[in-house]
Amino acid sequence: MNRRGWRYLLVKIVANKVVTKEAFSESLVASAEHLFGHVGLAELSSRVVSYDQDCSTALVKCSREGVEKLRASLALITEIQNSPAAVFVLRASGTIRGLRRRPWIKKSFPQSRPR
Amino acid sequence: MTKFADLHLKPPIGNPAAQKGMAELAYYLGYSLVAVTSHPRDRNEEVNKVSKIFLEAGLDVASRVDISATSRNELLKQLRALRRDFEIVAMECKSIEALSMAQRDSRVDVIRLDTALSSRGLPLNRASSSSAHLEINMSTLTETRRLPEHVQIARIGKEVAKAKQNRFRIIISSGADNSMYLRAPRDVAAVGMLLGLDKEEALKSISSIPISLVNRNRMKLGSRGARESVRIIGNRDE
Repeated sequence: MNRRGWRYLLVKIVANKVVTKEAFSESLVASAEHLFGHVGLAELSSRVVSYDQDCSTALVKCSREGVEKLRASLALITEIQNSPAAVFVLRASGTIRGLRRRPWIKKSFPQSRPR
Repeated sequence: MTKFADLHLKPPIGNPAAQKGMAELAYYLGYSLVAVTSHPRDRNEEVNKVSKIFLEAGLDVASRVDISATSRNELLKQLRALRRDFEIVAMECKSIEALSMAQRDSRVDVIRLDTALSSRGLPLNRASSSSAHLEINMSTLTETRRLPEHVQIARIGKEVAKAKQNRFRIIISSGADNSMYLRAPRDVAAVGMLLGLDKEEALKSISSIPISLVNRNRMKLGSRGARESVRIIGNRDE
């Protein structure tokens, strides 16, 4: 039997207040469930692997077939814990190491915060 | 490397900090071309200032005007007045008469879909001479919550299917008036796939289609385009 393929997405969260891993995870699940239902959510098998609260970045894992659905779910997040928020996928890779070793992870995010 | 374009940014006029934030974020997300939208009543100096901020951020900037018309005559009058001053002319469909005219007039570049979404749908029927592109704005899904999300998606999906049948070129733009509503290009394409486009079409709708539209219009408006099609047959004095 073939192994299931996974994809890892490096995600940047921009919000007017501090967002915790749990809050982000809840919003992600809610958005995916809202768009694709329970079956779609199960197919995505998304999970927040790691979260850096200082940089507001997260590593999200999902099934290879569900990348586009996950991207759409992330793009349609507009609120986290009733506060305006936006989520951007910075990069996608087949391995976590692939995401971490790339030079662009150090590229700084614009400092002027969205209002 | 693929170049991405967002042809519908509405940076707040008179707020340079917000404009700078939007410009930097758009560049960071990987856009290389953006269209700054203005209204016919906006002052030229203000619009030029906004464009300068986006240029300084490293983006190619196109000028765009959004017009709305309820009748054929109103549309023709606005096209006559504005066409030469802007690289993109987008139209908001407020009546079926104006929409059918816009579909036939080659001076209309973009027909905005979001404002006319109704349960009855739009009478889309593209004329062969028309160069109109159909635009889907992400802001329809992220900003306005007039309808539940699934109803919006279903309605837009229906229009997209109709547009594909009529061989319209589809553009997806953010329609963002604030950094919070900007999204990364590939995320926008993923939303396009949700609306019924396949992966290739979705990527083209944020890259090659809008970029070729702007390039074609720049050729038409620029002096080079005029020189190619104009032949001097003699001087008046001779």
